[in-house]
Amino acid sequence: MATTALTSRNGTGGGVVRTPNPSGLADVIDLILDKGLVIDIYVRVSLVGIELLTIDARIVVASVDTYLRFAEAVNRLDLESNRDQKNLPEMIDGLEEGGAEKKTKGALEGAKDTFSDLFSSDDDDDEDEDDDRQEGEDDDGDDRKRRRRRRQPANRRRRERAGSRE
Amino acid sequence: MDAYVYGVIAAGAGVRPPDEGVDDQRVELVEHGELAALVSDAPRLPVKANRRNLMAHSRVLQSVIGGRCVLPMRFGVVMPDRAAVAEELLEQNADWLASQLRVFETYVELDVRALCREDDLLRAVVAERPQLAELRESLRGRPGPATHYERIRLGELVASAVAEKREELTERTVEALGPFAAATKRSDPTHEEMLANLAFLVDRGRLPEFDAAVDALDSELDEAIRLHYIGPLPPHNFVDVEAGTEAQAWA
Repeated sequence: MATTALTSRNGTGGGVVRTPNPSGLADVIDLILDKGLVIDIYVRVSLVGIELLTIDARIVVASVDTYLRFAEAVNRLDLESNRDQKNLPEMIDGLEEGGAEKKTKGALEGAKDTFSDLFSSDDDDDEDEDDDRQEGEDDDGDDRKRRRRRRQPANRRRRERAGSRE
Repeated sequence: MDAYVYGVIAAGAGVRPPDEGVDDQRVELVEHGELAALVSDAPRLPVKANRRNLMAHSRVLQSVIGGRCVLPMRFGVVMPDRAAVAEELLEQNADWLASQLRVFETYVELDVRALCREDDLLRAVVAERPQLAELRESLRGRPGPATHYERIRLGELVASAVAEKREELTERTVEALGPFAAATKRSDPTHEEMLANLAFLVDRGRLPEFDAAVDALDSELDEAIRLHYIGPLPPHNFVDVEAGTEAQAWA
């Protein structure tokens, strides 16, 4: 099949709105957690939870487990419920005669669950609860920081360019 | 008192930093020569990387970027006091920081992410590859244990098809938007439903052109794909460009 469904023209108008500021925590994490200038000896931050999140979210593990979950997701896919995919090639119509009743479960939904678990209670409203939860972890802060740094030689290069003292 | 640092700007610009920074502390400027750092007290160490603080860091930077160039610090940089900010950050790195400010003076970062719901993505992938559809059909109704290796094979094929889709969309986006930008940075998607994760360094004067290009790209893409378009941002993805080399190629 020569057409690429995801990049074919569909005739609908544009309508992308530029968001002036990072609109959510995910945007912000992506921008400021490991990008930007840094003076490494002066990074003092408790990365409880966030670090785990970035690892979970960023690594797409090429493992048997991942493949099985992808297979599961594809098998449960209801190819006929194309409400959002009007322009999919017609050849797939009729592939699915019944079955696949279940709603598709995301192949790697685990990563997203982790994401929401981490932050659902981490809102301004429950600042106290959040503080309590993280307080106990503060002692590990240095350790986590060091581990994080070892994994990110790019930051070291950045620091050297910045000419910061060691 | 420990000093939390948000970023560096040119001194004497009449910038009024916002009232509330990390841990609800007031943000002020520490000036030294031609440079100024956005700083607040850090009463509690280590600084917690919670939602409130991460958002506060970002908000402080965003409050400045509207009018001028700001070199963003990574989240969590805390120096012993304001004198250390003046001496060890601004004075010791004065030449490098000043050159970076000149390089990025008229540029802002714009981030474009292509998102697609996973089932839409998988549907498209299966539709494009008859081999996947056949394999999927052949597994239908057969017990799990008997098809273990076939299912692994199916998943592997899907994974590689998704990876190809990511690459394809990333290149397509770079092709469409790159001509309007001075520099482009590709990053890995940060979650499963992200197909492309790109940052562009764009001259402020070309912002309307870039907006139009993003809009045009969006109208060409399948409607299952949504573009998440953010900016203007400080050059988070570009500040580590080494001054004097790549930087000047487009400056």
